[in-house]
Amino acid sequence: MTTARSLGLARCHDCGLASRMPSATKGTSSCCPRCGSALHLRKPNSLSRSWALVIAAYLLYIPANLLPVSTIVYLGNGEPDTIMSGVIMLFQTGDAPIALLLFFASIAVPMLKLIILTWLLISVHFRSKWKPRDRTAMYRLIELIGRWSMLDIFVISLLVALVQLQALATIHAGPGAIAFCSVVVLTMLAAESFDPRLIWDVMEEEA
Amino acid sequence: MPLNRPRATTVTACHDCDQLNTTVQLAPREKSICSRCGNILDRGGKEVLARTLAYALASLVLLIVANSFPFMEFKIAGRVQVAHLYTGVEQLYAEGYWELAAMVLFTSIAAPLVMISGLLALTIPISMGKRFDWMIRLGKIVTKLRVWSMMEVFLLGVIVSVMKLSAMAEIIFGPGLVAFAALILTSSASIAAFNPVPFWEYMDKGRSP
Ligand SMILES: [Zn+2]
Repeated sequence: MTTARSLGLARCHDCGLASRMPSATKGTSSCCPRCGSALHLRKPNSLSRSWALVIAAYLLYIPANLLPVSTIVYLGNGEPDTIMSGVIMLFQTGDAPIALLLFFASIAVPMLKLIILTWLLISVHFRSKWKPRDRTAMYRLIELIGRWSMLDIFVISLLVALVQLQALATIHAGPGAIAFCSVVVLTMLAAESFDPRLIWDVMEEEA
Repeated sequence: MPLNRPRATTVTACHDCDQLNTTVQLAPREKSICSRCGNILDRGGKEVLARTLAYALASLVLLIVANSFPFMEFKIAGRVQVAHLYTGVEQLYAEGYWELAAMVLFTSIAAPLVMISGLLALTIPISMGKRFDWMIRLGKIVTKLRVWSMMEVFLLGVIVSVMKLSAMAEIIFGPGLVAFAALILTSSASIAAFNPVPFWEYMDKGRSP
């Protein structure tokens, strides 16, 4: 087993080419000979950037769940819905499969993403050697499912577009939707900032 | 096709764990997997330039159709509300939620549009055996936009909205929605046929030694 770093090679973030990093000349930045992107052995400031984005996502997670994401005004009566109350209402009206789908996309996936990202960040911070392959698989999982959390935002956008019949029925977006959308975007950016190679770097030092 | 040329044995660093792996030319449907972390390093065969080009062209036409024709109609008590693909964006913006309007516009229309036109702009010169400097920058943009193009999530949103409103009113599907559903198939076929590994190798050949 040989890593690119152990041979002084850096994998380009954009085109994937492994090329030599001039290690002696510290301070001078080098570029990928193939595509011109800046070369780094690891994503720069990966941990602090991911932590900042994850903490911001945690903070916005609170208004995302407490503030209404949409308001349905039907025959003059307005009823604000939070993410949770919307899912509960769907369960009660009998649309169980749709309610389950929204529960996964809007509640389970964002929470799972935050928990997994926090766990990965902590495990790298404490130089854990526990099952690196499984932790990498977890990282791939959150990269794969993260975008599906935008589901609720699209539903709100569609409902707002369709139900605009002044006195009869209207649906408006709520401020919670902005917070929720920010959580989705921040966790996607946090996953992108995280460098999974950090999970493996400690394994090498032992050998 | 220039992108289908036989590939020799190459050494690549794994994106996920940094291990150097030796990869050989892959047969169709073959995958090369990192022995250390299980990451998929490359997929073989299927990348056919003509397929990327044809599906990207079809996607561009479908994207125009999806935006030009009514997307859905909402019928309640004799009144009809017609919505286009972009009506939600307009309505959110009008209500002062410009952040949401921008994100919906970006993920459901803008990112797919740039990605599809980008694929077209890349495959046309490659099929003629040409290389330009701007293709490097465009190649990076196209690969980065993949996660932000969320048309299939949007379509799932359509299904959820219909289920939510079906008790309240009658929903009619418009030609825009049909085109949008077809667009998801053609654009994913186009991107699936575009393998970044041989693309960057192709761009590399233009580099002076
Ligand atoms: Zn690997």
